Amino acid sequence: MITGLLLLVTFIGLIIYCMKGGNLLVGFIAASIVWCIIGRVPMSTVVTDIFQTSVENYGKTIAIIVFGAWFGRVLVDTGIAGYIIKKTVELAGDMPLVTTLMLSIVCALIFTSAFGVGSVMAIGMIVLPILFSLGIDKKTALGAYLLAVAAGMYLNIAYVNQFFAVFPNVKYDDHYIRFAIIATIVHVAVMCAFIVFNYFRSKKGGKARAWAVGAAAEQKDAKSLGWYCVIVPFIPIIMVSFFKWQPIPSFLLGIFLGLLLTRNFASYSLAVEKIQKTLYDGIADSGLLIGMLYSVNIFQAAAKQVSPILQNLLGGIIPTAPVIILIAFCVLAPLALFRGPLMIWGSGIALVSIFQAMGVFSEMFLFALFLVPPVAIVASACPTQSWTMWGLSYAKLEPKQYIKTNLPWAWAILIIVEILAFVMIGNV
Amino acid sequence: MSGANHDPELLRRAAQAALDLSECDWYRYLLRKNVSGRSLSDAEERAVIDGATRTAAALARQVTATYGRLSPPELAAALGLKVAERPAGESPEPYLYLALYEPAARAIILNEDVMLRVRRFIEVNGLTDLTHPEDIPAVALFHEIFHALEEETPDIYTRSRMLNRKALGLFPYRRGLDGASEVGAVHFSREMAGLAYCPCIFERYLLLALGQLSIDLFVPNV
Repeated sequence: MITGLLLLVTFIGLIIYCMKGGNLLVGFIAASIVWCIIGRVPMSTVVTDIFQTSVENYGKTIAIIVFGAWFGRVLVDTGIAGYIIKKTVELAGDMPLVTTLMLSIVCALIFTSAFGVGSVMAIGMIVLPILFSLGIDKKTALGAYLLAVAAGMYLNIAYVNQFFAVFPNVKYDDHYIRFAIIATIVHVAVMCAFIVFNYFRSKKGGKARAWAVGAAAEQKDAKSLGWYCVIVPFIPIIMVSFFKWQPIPSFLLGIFLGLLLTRNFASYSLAVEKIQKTLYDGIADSGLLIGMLYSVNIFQAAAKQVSPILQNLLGGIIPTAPVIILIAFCVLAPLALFRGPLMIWGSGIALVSIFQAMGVFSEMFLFALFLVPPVAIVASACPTQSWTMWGLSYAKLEPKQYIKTNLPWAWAILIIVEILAFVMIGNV
Repeated sequence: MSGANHDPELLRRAAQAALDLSECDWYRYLLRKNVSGRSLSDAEERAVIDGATRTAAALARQVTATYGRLSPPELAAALGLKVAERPAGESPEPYLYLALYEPAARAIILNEDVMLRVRRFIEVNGLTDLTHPEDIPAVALFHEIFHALEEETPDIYTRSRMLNRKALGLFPYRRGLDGASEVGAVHFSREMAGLAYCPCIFERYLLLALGQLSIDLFVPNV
């Protein structure tokens, strides 16, 4: 009983630490050590199962994340992402609302494949100034862009693979893809409603006109690329979905075609330089995420060791009906903010571990339950998301204002997608 | 702050080359700066510049005929526009601007901080004989007054859908161009202030002062 209570106190401490913005890598490793001490886990288990096996077993997922981030860098550095965005703007012309809607949908599509904070920043540096120059107010512009980035995540192979560390038997298969497509459509539909609502609300008095001074980078003409380059962002997802390729060869084909179609294979030295630079930047983009995911795995392995104690303590308290848990998640969705207990990549990892330890919920149910808050709430409305921190500073927007603008919409997305996830993939 | 780390001779030559650039080249630069202006053909570009400059010149004549030769603050007051100066410090806007017009409040906001940077750059680098720092606030005010007049002039060319396009190569439609409005505003400010050079050079000074432009690219390549 005392041991169980001590574990619970540590869990609450971890929640507070995460919500206060503590470093997740440090927090998870420290919590793992504390749980091992409280649970009196044998040293041999600590140094083998918890700190070694858990990390080495994660190699496959890390490889996918690295290749995903590399592919994202190729899309940005070859100018493909910029080309698609600028073509979209030219097509939409001088209609700010249409341009914002089209740009946001295009970004959502790009992020179904592109991955990594570097890609989000680099594409944001193209998209946001365009939206600002169209007179879109900063909270709508940034809110729309971040909702668009999040919309791509349900289908994003590299992103979804992160969950396989916690739910090892889940597969990115046709069954999942069907759900992910519908979730993406729902997310995009709510994003469009967000844009239309905020656009008309801010445009009551007419469009503000500024004698704006564009940065030099904005004035350089986009490298002339062929129209066929627009297919490149979708190569990995097409190969995985339709041709049943594995993720890494799919990303490699995307990288190869991305470089080839943008004439980066014109000479051997140019090809080597571009390959090395995009790979280096992609790994740098995903480095901290990988570190955090390693610590999540360590914490999960520690949680597994103390799970019988937690099961004894909480088994009779936590409801065991999946529908009740689902309703609780929909009602308490803002608890995912600031890495709270509904955010798996935060203090929520301890909650997952407790649910798993209870042994009453299926893996698919828990996967469906915990997949949605990081996308619908955290990536869409939480300032602790790495790229959101960048976006807030770039747009000079207060975190409070961002949460206020985006959270109601993010919450709506969560409720719809959680129910969809439960019905389509979690209710098995 | 001043961005004075440039070879004075090189900078002077670049400024002179920029001043020698034709009006049409500067307006082409303005259109191309706007991301939706890049899809114009040469003929369209010429037509838009011609239409926007004619509109601005006509508006300048009409304003002068109605109100006489007023200073920019006097003209703003005569038109019932509020003029405010954004105090120095970090800009709340995510982009650099010299001035902006808020139609809802009928207010012109002058970005003091940014104008001061340009002014200091000109003074520190000894360019006052080429470009006069006192022209900056006047030009910025006239620029925004044009936008205010545009807002209240239905069917004005610079706000019209002057371009013919085809959606998916099949369905014809007409679209406008924000860049046309900027060309009009710059031309109007130049006419009203009686400037012998294009005020767009102030933008280039600012980018140079902020280290966002290298001196070899100072003269826009149009």
